[in-house]
Amino acid sequence: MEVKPNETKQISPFFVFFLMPGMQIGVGILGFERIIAKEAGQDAWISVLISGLIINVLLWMCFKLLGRGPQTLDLVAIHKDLFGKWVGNAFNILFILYFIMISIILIRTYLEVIQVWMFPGVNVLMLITIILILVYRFVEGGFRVITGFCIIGLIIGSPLFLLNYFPLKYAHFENLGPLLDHSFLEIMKACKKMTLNYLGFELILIYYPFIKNREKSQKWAHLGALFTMVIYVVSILVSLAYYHQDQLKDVIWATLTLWKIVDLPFIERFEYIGISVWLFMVLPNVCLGVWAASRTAKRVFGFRQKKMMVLILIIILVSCIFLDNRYRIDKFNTISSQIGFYIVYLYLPLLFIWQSIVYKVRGHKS
Amino acid sequence: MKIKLLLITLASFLMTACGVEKQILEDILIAEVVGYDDAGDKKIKGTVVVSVPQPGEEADLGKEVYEADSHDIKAARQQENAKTPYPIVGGRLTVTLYGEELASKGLNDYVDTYRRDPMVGRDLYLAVVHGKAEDVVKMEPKLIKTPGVQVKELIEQNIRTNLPDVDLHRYLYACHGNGIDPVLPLLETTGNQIRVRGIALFKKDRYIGKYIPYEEGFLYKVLSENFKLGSYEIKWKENDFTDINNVESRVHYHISNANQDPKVRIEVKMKASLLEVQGYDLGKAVDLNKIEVRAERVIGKKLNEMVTMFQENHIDPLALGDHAKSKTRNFDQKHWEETYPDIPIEVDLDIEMIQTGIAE
Amino acid sequence: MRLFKGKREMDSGSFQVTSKDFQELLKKFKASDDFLTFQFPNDDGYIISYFNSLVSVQQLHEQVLAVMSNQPKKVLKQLKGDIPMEDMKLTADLKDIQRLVLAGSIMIQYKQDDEMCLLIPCVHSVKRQISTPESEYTVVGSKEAFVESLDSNLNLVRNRLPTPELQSKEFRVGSISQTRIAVLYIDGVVNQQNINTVIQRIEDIEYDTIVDISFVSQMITDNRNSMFPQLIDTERPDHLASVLSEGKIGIMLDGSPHALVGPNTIISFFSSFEDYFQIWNLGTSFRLIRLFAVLFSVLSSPLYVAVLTYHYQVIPTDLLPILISSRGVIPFPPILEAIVLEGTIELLREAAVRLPAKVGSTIGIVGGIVIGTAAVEAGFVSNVLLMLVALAALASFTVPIYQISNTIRLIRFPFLIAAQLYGLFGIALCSAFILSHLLKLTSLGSPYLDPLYPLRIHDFKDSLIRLPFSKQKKRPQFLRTENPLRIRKEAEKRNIRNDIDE
Repeated sequence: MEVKPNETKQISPFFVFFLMPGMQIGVGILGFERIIAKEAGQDAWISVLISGLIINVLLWMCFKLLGRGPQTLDLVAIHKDLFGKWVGNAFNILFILYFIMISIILIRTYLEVIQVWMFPGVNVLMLITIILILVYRFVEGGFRVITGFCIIGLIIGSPLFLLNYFPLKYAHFENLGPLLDHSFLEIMKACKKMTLNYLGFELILIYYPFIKNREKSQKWAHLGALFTMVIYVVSILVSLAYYHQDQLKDVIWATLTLWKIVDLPFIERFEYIGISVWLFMVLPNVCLGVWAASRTAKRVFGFRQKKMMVLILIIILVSCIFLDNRYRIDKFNTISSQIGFYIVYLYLPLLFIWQSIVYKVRGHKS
Repeated sequence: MKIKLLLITLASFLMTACGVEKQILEDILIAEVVGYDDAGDKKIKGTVVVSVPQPGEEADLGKEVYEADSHDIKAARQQENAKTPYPIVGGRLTVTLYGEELASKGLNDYVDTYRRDPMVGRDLYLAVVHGKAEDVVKMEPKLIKTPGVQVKELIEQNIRTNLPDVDLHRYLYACHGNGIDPVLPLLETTGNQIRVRGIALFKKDRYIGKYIPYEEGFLYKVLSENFKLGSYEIKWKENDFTDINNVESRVHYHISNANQDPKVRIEVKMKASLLEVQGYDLGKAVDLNKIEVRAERVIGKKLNEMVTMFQENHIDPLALGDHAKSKTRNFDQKHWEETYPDIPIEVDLDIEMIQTGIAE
Repeated sequence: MRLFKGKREMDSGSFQVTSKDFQELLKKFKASDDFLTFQFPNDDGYIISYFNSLVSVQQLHEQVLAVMSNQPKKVLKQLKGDIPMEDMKLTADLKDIQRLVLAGSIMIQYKQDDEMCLLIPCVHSVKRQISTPESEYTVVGSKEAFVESLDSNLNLVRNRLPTPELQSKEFRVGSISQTRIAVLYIDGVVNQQNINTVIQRIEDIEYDTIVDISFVSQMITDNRNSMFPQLIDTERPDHLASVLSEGKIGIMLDGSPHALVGPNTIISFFSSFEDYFQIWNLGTSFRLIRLFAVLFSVLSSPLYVAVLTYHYQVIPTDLLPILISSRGVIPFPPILEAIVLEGTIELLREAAVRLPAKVGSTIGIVGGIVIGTAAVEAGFVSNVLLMLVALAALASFTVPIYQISNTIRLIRFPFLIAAQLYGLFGIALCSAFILSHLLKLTSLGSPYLDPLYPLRIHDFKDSLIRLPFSKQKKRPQFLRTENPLRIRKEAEKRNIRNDIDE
């Protein structure tokens, strides 16, 4: 099935720079420091750095996968090309479920933050419904609207990164030493735990056909992924300097707790404002996830994308009903992190290798 | 389709009446200072000051005190609510006071709730009270002539000069860290005022009963952090005093060989100005040097004494253990703790007089 | 975009000649008392008929009757050559006769009941003098504003753009009103597709009476349900000339002193024409002030409601006593207080518009000061909120375009409700809803949120900041003009020798 959205519905390659962090920076950044620091201690930032570089390598593999020609323009096409219709579609369905899973995690974790930090008694179901209606409005506008939302979300959310200035006044940079005091295995374990936060770049496999001048977008994609990496590294550096290592193991949402100390003359307790503004960073993620899932479903089953989207939203709503306490959410997070890890670190390289072999064989034949 | 969407949105917005708990500003009592005392038999007594809006045009706030007995903090809050017309909320809590007795039994259980509660900020001040915390808390509403919460302003103002910078975050940092022990301000009531008595020393989360008196607080601050203000009175001999003002003071820790044979050298560089002299003639440069040397000697001795006192009591408020850990690979925590009282710690003080005020 | 799906064959503003034949039409004309019919120069002469209210009597006397009086009666065709007027028509077509007579022409028949008539235009137009603009007043700059007559307006515009590329296409809209509408653009600069879209939409208008250009605006706009105007109107000919040369399209209606301009972006919310009259740093600062004013105006009372209802922890300690004591005596929760105050301000605004001038200022003072003070003293509202709401109302008037200030007034209310439901998070949700609406909005096809999205760095030069003219070499990208260059040649750099180089 060839994929050719109209030129009027495409975005210019520069915007991929915004789509990358838009999809990757979600809710994980608020609380990832604890998980990583448990494994790697004060060398956690090295794990984050290495993780980010590996992601860039995987991104390069994605572009190679996509660049073989008009029959490999997106994931569905690649699967069909390599595995034929039936097996390919089986993989596609797996990916649909995977995208839905990411969206569920994002929404539920964010709402958990709201439940714990802002409104303890809130009726989560109602909030989820409202957010899902918002998602519907955005996704129904099409890919360009979602990209616009990503960009604007990043612009609105970027002043929050400047808040890292405040903890620096209390920073103990000696916490970062001694350097490399942990074994290679520990650092790698931390890298593995970091995957959930970097997930999102693989969506390029779905929206690649929507980019004008596709070859030019690779540079922007890598820059975007590097930008995400820098943001994560700065976050964890600040957290490591501010908290004592053993303290960090108990603080569930390290970055959020950092916002408590922001001291502006007319506002105290910045975290309430921060969490509300964070909506603009989480929502684009969810919108992209739902869009990717519904688009893949449309390509596989042939139904209209809008109908698929409504179905997916209902699935998300129902799943969130089941995830109603911290324990379950945590477990779901861990499972998704594992699945994400296998898909990204195992499946993608294997796909890449398989495709190279197949093309070499085909090349020899013709 | 669009109208349907709009209706659904509106309906879901409106149906959320069963949703969020409101805390309208004038319908709550904002707790400002709270104090906990040991009430025997594993119970604690909580006393809290809240601000109450007064009717009328001026922005006057009255204050009320409520107290209750219970086993833990949140239950005490609940009991206090039995007496109040509006619920007491702790979002704007500024200071938490602990009675001496309670502090010597260990504070971890009582600080834990502030660690978990998302409503509490990290700039909460903690302090120990010489005697009972409720005395200080009950005195608070009587001191309404100056604005603000008395205790908080008191602590904050003194942090600039004689108290170390300690708030909830630093306390937690020190408590969790393996090589640090926290310190807290020690308050007392004298007559009808609240006074800072000194710096209370802790071993992990227990108050060991010893404290650094207020006048020596400056020395402790010099040892533990870089700061810019404060003054200290040096006693040369009987009836001979000089007051030096600190313009800038920096401290460096040099720890060598932490795992086998630790040696610590604390290097303090102070730039000071002299604002009150009795007896010396500052006209000649020689005299200035003499003052420097003498000050270094006098203050240096006191600093060494303080450090020895820390060692004897097995406490490490200066975070030496933590510094050692960050500089050595495979730091052996146990070994450090065992040899701590015998580690030769040397304080190296260097004072530079840079100003003498506007007169000679 | 068609309002009612009518029959396609009729052109815009098509009207039905409801009379079956000439006699019936004449009977309808004669039913009005201002339709004069007489014979000239004597009982055997021509039959001259016209609407007294539409015809310039002076022209009739001087150009027509004077010629006719000293000549023998001729056939109409010969008469046409004698009379020194332009654009005369000799016709028996009912449509033409109806239209022209009702536009101010004189109808001359050779003899009674003759169906062939000579129609001579002698229009007497009553128009307003050119006066100062009401809503777009600037301190410096021209003080001419459009008037109701389309021809005068075209005169004002053509004087400022004396180029043959400035082309105007005229149509008629409204089946009864038959109003003339003109579309102006500069050929070679404007995007041809935009022109075609506009013309297509105008031709699709189906309505009986179009009296004001805002009707047209609502009918041809992209999204009819949106509170955000996609076509801006302007009163000033210099403004219109300026935007036409950027590549936008202007639409003018006979009888309306405003001209529509499109396509627009959201930046038009904040930019006033006066920004161009000042040095670029001043212009930029004023735009930023306006941006802040709009944000403040929309968000201040919702923030007040949200913080006081849910998030008391955000208030700094020193501000707490003031707020608590000001709210202590008030019996209502913050949301009711806010709605009451906002409602009062809306009432004041509506009343101020409709009051006659002499009474208006007194009521303003009474309403504003006396009621406000009394309300605070009675403990009905708090003075903090009163101050906020008054400032917000003031801030909403800084927006230079009238339609947008209406939008801002009303957008506040959904935010208030959202703040009441979910506090700060509710405000974020409401902004996300509005953002989702704005992202999908287009104005004549180009995206509304340009240059923010799609990110066009070049267009930022004239958005919230206004760079000097020398830096604005190209026309805005979102207009997709055919000729993007504005400045052909770089201005020569002036060599100023500094003292330090001597």
